[in-house]
Amino acid sequence: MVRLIGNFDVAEEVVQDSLLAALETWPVHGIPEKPGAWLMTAARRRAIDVLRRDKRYAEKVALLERSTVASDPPEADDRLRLIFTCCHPALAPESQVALTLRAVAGFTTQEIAAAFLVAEPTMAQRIVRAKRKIVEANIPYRVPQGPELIPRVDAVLAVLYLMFNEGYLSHSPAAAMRRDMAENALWLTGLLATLLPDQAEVLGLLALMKLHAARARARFDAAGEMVLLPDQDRSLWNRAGIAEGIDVLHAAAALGVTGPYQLQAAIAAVHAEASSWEETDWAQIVVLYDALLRLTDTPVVRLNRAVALSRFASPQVALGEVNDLAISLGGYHLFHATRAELLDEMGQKALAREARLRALELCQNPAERSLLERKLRAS
Amino acid sequence: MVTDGPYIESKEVIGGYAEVEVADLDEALEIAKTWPGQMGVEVRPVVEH
Repeated sequence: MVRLIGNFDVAEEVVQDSLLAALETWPVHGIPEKPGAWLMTAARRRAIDVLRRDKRYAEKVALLERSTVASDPPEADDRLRLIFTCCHPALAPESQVALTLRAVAGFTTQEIAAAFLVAEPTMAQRIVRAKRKIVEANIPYRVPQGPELIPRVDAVLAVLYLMFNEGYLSHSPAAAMRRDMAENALWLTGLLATLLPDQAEVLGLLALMKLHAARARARFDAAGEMVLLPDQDRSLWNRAGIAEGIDVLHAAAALGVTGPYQLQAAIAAVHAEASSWEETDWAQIVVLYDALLRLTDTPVVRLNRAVALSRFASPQVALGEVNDLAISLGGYHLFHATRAELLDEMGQKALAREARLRALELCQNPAERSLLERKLRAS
Repeated sequence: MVTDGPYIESKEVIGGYAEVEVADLDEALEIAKTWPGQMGVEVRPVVEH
């Protein structure tokens, strides 16, 4: 709809209206044969109404009326093209990604804020400013071609990565994991890899997603509780999926340009290849994190490296590193959860409890909350 | 750009198992019985005092 109308706010409004109409109509008249096409048609009709209110859009109304006749469902790669279109270089990279998550992936502002580790009002403002900039600069919603395409790949990969991340472990209180979101991201990344087979990081991201997806079945039990890595039943891991992920990673490495997604995929591969928790090659994981830090030195990477370090070296060493991240990660529940874990291992029960309470305050995901609550009861 | 990500270390290792200090298996089982969730709870000795 954004592509059709050229206006984010109107597109958002009409899509919401058509979803509402679906909620009212479908239970009465049954679900239509092509729900996607039904929604598109409903949204188009609604858009015509909305745009008629505004004379500036007179030309576009004519366009929309013409396209109402052919109400085929959108092409399979419509979303991918839309992601490219929204990742407009006139915006700062972070705004490109935030706006695209909002407009294409349907993220809430709260979910985008959590993905960027910032407060919700901060992110809301950024999105408003980005939308305004697009409107004021009269940036066309068209698909970039040829040489325009490649510079946008980084932002597109960031969008797909964060979509997958939200699916892998959600930031919303509604669901622990959102399989559809992860599957969409995986599918779109696969499509992107066929379009750009020479881009090592596209393959790197695809490998990362495949390796995670292959372990998905073991990560939650029948009751929806999280099963952590040491307790996962590794016979539930999809060996063929893991092998596929590793093949893609090899193909990426063969292109000779290393990058953060390839390194993260390599870390996931070390875990996926370990025959048991005890056999995990933590030394190798720390080395890979060191390489990742050289490319993207962010507090989130440092935090995860510290967890690996606690296995490889000691909780004391890891805690020293984690404590240095207090300012940048004070609002991130996994910072406090990690501190709690390390303090527990060092026998500092009271401090561990305090950190875990803070983690619980900041955490929305129901399965993660349940885990934190269980640990608090045990302390 | 600082973002969250699907990192196994923080998201699948941390929060982990509960380590509790108890005198014997019976005490460990008593504690485990108070935990919520229909899932099974596995009790494993870590350090023997």
